[in-house]
Amino acid sequence: MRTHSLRRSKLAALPAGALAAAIAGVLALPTSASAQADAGAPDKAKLEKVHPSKPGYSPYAGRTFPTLPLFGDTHLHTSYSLDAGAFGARLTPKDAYRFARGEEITSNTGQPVKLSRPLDFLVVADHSDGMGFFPQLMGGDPEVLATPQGRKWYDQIKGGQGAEAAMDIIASFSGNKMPKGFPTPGTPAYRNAWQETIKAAEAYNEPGRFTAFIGYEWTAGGSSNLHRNVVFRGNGAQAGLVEPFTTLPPLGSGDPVDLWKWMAATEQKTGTEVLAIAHNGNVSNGLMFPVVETFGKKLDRDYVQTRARWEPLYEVTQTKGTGEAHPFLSPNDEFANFELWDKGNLDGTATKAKDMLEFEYARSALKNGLKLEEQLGTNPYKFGMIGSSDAHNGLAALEEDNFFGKTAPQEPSPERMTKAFIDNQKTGVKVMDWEVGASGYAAVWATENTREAIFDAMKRRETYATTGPRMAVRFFGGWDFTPADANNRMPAVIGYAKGVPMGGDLKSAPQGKSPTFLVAALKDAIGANLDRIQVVKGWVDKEGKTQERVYDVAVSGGRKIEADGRAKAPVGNTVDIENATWANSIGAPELITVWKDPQFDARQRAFYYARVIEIPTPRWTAYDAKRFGIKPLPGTTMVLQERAYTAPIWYTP
Amino acid sequence: MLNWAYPDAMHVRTAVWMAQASGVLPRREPVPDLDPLSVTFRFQQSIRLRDTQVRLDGLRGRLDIALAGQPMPAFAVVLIGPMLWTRFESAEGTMNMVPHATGPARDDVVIVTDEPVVAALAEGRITVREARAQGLVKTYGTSENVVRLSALLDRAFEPKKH
Amino acid sequence: MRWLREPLVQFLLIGAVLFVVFDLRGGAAGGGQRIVVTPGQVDAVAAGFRRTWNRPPNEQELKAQLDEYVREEIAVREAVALGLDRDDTVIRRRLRQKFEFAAEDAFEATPPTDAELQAHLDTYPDNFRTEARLSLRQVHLGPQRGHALQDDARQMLERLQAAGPDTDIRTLGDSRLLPASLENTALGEVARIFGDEFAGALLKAEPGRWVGPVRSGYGLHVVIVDGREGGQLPALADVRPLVERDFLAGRRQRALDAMYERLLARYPVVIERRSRATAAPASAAAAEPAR
Repeated sequence: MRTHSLRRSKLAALPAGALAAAIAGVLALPTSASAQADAGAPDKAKLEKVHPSKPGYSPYAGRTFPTLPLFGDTHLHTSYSLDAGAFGARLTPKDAYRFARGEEITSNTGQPVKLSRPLDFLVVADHSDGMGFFPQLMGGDPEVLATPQGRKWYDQIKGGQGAEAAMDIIASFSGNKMPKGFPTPGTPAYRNAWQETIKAAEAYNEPGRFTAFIGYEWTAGGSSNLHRNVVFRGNGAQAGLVEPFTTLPPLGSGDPVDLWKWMAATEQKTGTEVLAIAHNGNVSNGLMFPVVETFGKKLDRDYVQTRARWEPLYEVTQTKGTGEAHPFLSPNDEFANFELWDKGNLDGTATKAKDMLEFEYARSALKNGLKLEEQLGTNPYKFGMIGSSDAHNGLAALEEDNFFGKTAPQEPSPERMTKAFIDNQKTGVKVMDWEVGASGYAAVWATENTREAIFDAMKRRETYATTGPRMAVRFFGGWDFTPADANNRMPAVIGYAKGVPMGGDLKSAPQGKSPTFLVAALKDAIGANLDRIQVVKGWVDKEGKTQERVYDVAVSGGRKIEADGRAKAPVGNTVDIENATWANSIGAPELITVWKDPQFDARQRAFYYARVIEIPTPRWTAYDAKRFGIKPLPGTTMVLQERAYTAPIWYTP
Repeated sequence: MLNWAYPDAMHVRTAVWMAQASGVLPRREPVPDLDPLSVTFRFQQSIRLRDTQVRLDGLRGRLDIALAGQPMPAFAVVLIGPMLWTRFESAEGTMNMVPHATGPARDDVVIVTDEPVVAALAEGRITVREARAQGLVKTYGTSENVVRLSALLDRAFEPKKH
Repeated sequence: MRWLREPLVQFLLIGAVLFVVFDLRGGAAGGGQRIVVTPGQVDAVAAGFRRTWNRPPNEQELKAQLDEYVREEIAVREAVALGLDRDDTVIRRRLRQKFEFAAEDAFEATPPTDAELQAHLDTYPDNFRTEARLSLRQVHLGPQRGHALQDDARQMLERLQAAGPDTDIRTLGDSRLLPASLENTALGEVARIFGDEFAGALLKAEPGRWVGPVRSGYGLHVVIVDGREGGQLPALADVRPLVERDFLAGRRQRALDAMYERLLARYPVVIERRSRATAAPASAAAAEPAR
């Protein structure tokens, strides 16, 4: 019977894929991680027991702590994402992995593109809602085209009304009016899309050399961004036992509490671990870091514990702006005004009110988290920091001189600096394309380049965010660091031995002691020199109010740090905007110091994180202006000081 | 979205600015410092669109003469900058142009290109064959129709060799 | 009952009986009649539900899912019988895809032999060459030395050359953070730490003696390459899965091409040319293999 054979052979298509996955999984190349770890499976216990009695000649022999930072992107979209596809992205997850691994590929607009250096890991995190829809629709997937709606869109796109179709598709989505048969979890079409995503990750995951994580983005909140990226620790067989959590009822939900429930059920079901990384508090219009109530319920012990359990990291910098600090919240921090997107919510349908800011930015969230810990017993905002791209074109290309934009139309062209990204007539919220940032990457101190080691480092928060360059940053906290430690030629050995690394905890200060920090930064091998290292402290004072203060702890060029902890002299500026060049004649290639908190009160909760700032360099807009010979719009930012933000170290009395 | 129905359509955009940079097409005019919402800007835009229509009509005319009554597969041209569709079909021995079409008709051959290319073609700075070789024009349809249409267009826009 | 013997009545009766029989047999459009939902199919439907909700469906939910399944089966049969699957580009393309998958599965059936894989490895060595690995030690001199940097570096080189390859350099050099030594490290990683220029220079440097100054983004270095394993061709045993993946991909494509060639022989292809308005009706052109 013809129909029956059609049905049966559907299943026959799978084995070919499974075979490929099996082959890829067997790819055990000789480990190249020798410089990084040679002592077998690392774990936290071992790390804490490191005692180099007499360092041998080789600094890395016998070490079980991470010796090199790994750089990656945890937030990349491909044509499998509904909106990326709507904008014309055709690159698939496989293309994205190949590019991240250092291969040269052709971009969505036909341009050859290659990273300056390969990345170490990548999460292709396509939106769970409608995952794989466009490739299926345009590839003629029968499941999708069987529905009248699907058919209509297909014909519209073929018939030149692609823009209308795209708008209709996205509107149907947001209005939760997807037609029957639209790929939702449980349908064969959706399962195919998820399996393809998994297959791509499995094919390009090479332990020891490049890690491809399985993941997706849960895109909740509608116009007020509450998105999280979900990352799996395990392999395809495990991830394939579940399907991603979406945001539209009845199968999905827009409340993070429900996502966390799904995560708990998933760990049970698959036997592996997952974590969630939120981003873009800056366009959540006050909803990202609540302190009183959320979704109609007051914050309680359950909420703070659950949030802390599932969200160990926060993506603080990406193409839609950087959300560490805001000048309104931190008027004394002259570096707070950096790549801000503070005009409104995600799609510009609502403007920003000043009283929203406190609940949107990382530093104030870290501060409020201390208070919530006092009140409810757990700190829900105890997160490490990372950067990622949120690029919607399959290309994690975020260097200022190699920036391929956030969407396919934003790939290099003479027009990409002059159009508007969001232009809402009603609210007046306008964000220009030039405001999109060429940012960021996640840096992780993992003991080796494998899914397990990187994931574990994320769980313990031994991470930092960079806005693009690959500086190496160390940050250790302890009670016994001395200035001489900054002269030590193996600061990591001292750091792990005498203290805790970034993301760690200090507790119950010994009598009369203040916390000391060993902090070091090495510039990107092909990047700009460093201007300074700062330590940002946040604490709860004796009135129960949160406070913050920024200290310069190491500055280049012998500039003096005054008694108030600030170096007044700026580092200078060698940028030639016209020619988009700069010189490393100012700044320092590396900075290292030991700093002690001069105003420590052992009874007060506090956190400390390091912020490393480079000398000024040209922004991607300057490279575009030079290369295309065009004049930027008035007000376009052309110069910036790239930076890194480490995960904090927390002090609890 | 075009990129889905017509694979690599977006490459035309890149080809256009590369051609402008290398001189194959005339350099683009500098973007005027105008607010995209202002009346002046919109007025400018509508003038530009009108110029483009006029040029397309001019091309239609040349095609008409070159064809001399031969039938030609119907085709639709989309300019990716303004996303403007224009259809061309031959009926009773003449070439008709349908401006502001909503899209291609069912069996149309689809040609993806952009305004600067149309301008250059109209001014005789470039032939269709050259434009295609540079990636400035991409054609989609059944292979038979594409071949036939391309051959006819090439012949119609060959530089006069007297 | 005389009327029963009327021919018309008999005719009508026979017609009625035929109708009934026809109806019972499923009607004109439908080809098949019985829809069998096997236990396996029930399980598959339940599994789909469980995958979303992380729990098995209750009776009501299962019934609803099965109803949907049956409906779909009916719709498909009716559609095919009505010929709705013909001339549908989408269905055609999908059928082609499935045909090729099925054919590819057949190709996969025979695993490649060692000899075949070795030949592939030999023909495409660059795809499988291992990355060069270096063991090195370096002394760094930084830009803070200003104009004296070049001279300082040269002096350091002389000093180290005099002292010999085994000199303890742990207290030398300006940087605290750059590794003073790397062991058996892949070239790519050396490049990631020090930059491409440095890595490239080390690839060409004579091992076993101090050389320099070598430049990097951090300043100048005096370096010694203690060991270098060049990018060799690995043994098949070490990279078999990679070679197999590559080889199978190529074989699949060639097999697909060959298959179409063979099948083409069975299908004479004629491309009709539309003639000029006044010419004779279209005649068949010579058969040309469609490419």
